Amino acid sequence: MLRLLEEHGQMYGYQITQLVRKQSNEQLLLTEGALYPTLHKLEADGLIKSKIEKVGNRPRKYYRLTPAGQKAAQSKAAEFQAFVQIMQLILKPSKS
Amino acid sequence: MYLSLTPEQVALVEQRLAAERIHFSTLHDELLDHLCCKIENQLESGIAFHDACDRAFASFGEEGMKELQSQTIQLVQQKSRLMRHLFLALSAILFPTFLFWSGYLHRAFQPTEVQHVHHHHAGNTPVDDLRKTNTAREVLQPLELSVPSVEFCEGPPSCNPLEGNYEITSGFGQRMHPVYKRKKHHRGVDLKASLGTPVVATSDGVISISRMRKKGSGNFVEITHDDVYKTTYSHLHEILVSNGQQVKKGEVIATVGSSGFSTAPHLHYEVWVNGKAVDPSSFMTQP
Repeated sequence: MLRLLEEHGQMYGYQITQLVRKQSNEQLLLTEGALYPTLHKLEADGLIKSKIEKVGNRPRKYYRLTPAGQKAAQSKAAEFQAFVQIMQLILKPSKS
Repeated sequence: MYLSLTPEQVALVEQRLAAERIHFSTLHDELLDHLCCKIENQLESGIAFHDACDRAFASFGEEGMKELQSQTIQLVQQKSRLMRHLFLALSAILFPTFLFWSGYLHRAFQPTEVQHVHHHHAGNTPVDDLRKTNTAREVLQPLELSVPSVEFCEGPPSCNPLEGNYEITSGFGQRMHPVYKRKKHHRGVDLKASLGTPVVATSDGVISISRMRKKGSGNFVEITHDDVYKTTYSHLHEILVSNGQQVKKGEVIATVGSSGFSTAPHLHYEVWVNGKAVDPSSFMTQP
């Protein structure tokens, strides 16, 4: 989620679910039950901040990264990539 | 075509949401918008409003919405608990100091009450005070206070850098470079325009770079809109703003030229998000 916000600047909840679906070729479904608690948690932790904007005839809450969130997005992505690489080593040991 | 719900339809969705007993107000507005987006999406594929509404609510599953709310509150509360512990630890350190100073101040001045209050609040937020005096049933209110919505002004570019119709002569991404004649990544868009066409700021911001050059990007302006968004304008003819100047969305900042590495008058426009150039056309309205 941090990564998506880093790339797209500011986003709102529904947009995030749609983007996750699209970018994962409809494979990954981010449910609201997982999305909103996470967003609120990230906000409480100071990694993202929000702004409420009036869109059409209803308010919409936009989220974006704080400077701390930008750092976290980078380190978490690197961490996860390292994890995937290690898992790959275990699952597919090179035949040498 | 993009469909948007009428105020009456939004009110209907809100009624159903109220029936689900979502009290946490920021979450309430957010879910309302989420449901409305879902319904609009369904309407676009030709489903009737009431069916779309039923589907949107059903997608949360039975009790799903209430669960979502309690989970959100629980997660945020973890943080509040942490803050409370921090506050307790801080007051353990500050209390002896406070006792010492209040005794001292009592001798020094008469109206010590004011000093009392000030000292007691050191390292403490109003949220903590509210929490102490709250009963369990009122616990939602301080929770909302504990999740402050930080305001950020300005925001993403939301208009075109040239007024009226425009023509993109070179888009974002890989392209054959017109001067080098080889493939290069193009970090912005080129908009065809005649010499002297006014260039406007695409969102409120501050001029962070404004310089006159004969090489490269030529006469160049960069606007910092906030901590996330920046826009740049290259190959300008005249620059009408200076470094550090505040500009409003739609304000004329320069005129189109052919300065620097350019073969004909045009505007090279870039949008930067978190330090990365992105496709500006997604921030522009259709010509």
